[in-house]
Amino acid sequence: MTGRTGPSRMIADAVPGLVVAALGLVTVLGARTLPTLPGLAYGPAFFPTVIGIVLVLLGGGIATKAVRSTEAGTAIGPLPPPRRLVAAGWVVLGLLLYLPLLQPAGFVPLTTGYALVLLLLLAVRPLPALLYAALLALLVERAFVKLLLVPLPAGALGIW
Amino acid sequence: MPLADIAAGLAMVADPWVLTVILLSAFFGLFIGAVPGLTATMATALLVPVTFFMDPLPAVAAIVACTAMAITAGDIPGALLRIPGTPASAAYTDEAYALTRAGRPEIALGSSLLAAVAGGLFGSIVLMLAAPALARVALGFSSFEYFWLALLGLSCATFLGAVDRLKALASLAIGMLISTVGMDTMTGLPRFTMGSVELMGGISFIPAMIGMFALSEVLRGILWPDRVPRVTVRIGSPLRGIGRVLASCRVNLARGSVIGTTVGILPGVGGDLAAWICYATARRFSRTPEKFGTGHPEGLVEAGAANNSGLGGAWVPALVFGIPGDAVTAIAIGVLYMKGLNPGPRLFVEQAPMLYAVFACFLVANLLLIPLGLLAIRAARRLLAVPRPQLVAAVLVFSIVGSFAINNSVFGVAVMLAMGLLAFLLESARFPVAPIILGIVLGPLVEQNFMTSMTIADGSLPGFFARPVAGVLGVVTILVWLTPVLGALLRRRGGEASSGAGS
Repeated sequence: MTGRTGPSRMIADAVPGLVVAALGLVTVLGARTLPTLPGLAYGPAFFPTVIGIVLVLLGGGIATKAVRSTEAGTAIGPLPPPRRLVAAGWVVLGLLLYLPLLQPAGFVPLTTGYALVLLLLLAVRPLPALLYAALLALLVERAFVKLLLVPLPAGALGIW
Repeated sequence: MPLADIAAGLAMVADPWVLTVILLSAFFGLFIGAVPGLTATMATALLVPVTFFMDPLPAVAAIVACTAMAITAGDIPGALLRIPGTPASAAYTDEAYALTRAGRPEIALGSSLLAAVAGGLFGSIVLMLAAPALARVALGFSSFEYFWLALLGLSCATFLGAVDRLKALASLAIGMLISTVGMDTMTGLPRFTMGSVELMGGISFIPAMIGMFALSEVLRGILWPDRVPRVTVRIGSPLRGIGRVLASCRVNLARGSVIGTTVGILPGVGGDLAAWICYATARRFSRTPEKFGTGHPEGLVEAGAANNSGLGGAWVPALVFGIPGDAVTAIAIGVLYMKGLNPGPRLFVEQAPMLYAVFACFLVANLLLIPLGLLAIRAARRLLAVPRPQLVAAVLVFSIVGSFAINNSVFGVAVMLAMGLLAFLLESARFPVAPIILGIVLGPLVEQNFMTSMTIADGSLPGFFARPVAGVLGVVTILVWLTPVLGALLRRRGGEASSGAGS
């Protein structure tokens, strides 16, 4: 962690503060579109509206405090090496690919592939990575399908 | 106490399957807790999907055993590597590590283990005695009392013990906002579902929790891995000489257990805060405060006892009112609801044998800490040397399957991903994540009881203070809100007094 002063701390806290305030504003506006029931003073919109207003106030407070603050703060740490960034990116993007492919591809092959890429990106040697990924997928599949009766997708080929 | 209920409860726990589940969950908790960077909350979150398929008692027993073991095992990397395994261990990590550097790691590990067992047993016994008594009082509670209790829990969680109150409150509000997605309970109208049928049922608690506590930690572990050095120090027998240490710290043991349980019982406050408070009280009342920080067992014993006794204490408001003290108890409450054991005073009337069985699980789990804890200390070096990439991959695969298994749909996995990213971003901006889960659990409770109360009181806010218990709870809640203002006033007055004395 590197200690940073003034402006960088300002940005490090002011931006999230503004995002929180914006979320609150969207919530309030969204709550206005909710239907109200006749004869009910406090409908489904009441609670979200309160939360939205609170979020606007808190977000504003966080941003204001950040702008006013002059003390040194620890801002965002040093950027991780590119290989680790790619690996973390794969966890997220790989999972986005995983979702639509799960039914057609089946749990075991897809999970093996997903875990294998991650292990390779984390500098595990190819053969151990493949063996570990396959074993992990198979064991989890056996445990959940046989013991807990979770219907994990078998895939179009149905071999698993 | 009705003896028939107790006997029936004990008979339920004596079932071999329940005992096996307790043992396996304790092993699981031990492993996750001992690995630096993997928290007790993560252990619990990953275990919940498995408990989904069990009967109520083994499900709750699994959570109890896993949490107690994970929190205790979290002391191991703290003592040996100065990396606390769970946040609750952070209060005394430096003290324990100082003992390791002085070549006495077994004293650090042994005394925190036995302090945890003693504190845990004390907390469990208080839970057994206090919860049914409190439940009898709570039978007369109406929506007004519940509204204030839920609000008090949320207020304590964010106003006491938070590093940055504004951010903790923002996290809490985000959690409550998430809880409003889905069908409105009062009118049945959809809210913020954006036309999605799957969102009609709300954002599922389990995938959300797995995302927040497992996926976000996976991302963090990949991007900023803890540098885990090899443990080079020799670990002797943790039981040798431990009797003398504990005998010299018996006051600390007692005070830690009592303060820990009391803090744990407060709605919205868990074992983490209890450990910090007790490390401070140990130092304050010590005859040798100068030894603190140099490997002195007093603080270690007091905070270690507080940490685990808080766990039993936190279950009192959780079972009686459905109000969690921390993220782990919030998850446990989710499991109770999932199993049809809706927390509340009626549970004590309708399911008394079941509750005594749960209490017995606490005792069994805490006694199990001794053999398993000793085993963990023996295996510490190997546990700390588990290769990281393989571990990360396994946690990831368990997260996916666990999120899928709740509704057998990929929608759960999508929720897990979204919530994991949200938690990761918020944590990167140094927003605490635990209040989100409290908001998700308590949001509906606050809203429903507020709406019901509003209807009963005909929209009059003074009506919220009309009943005596509700009035007291309301005033206490408002006092908690005022703590920052009062604190600032006291500091200013203190400053003036000292400057006046100086002139």
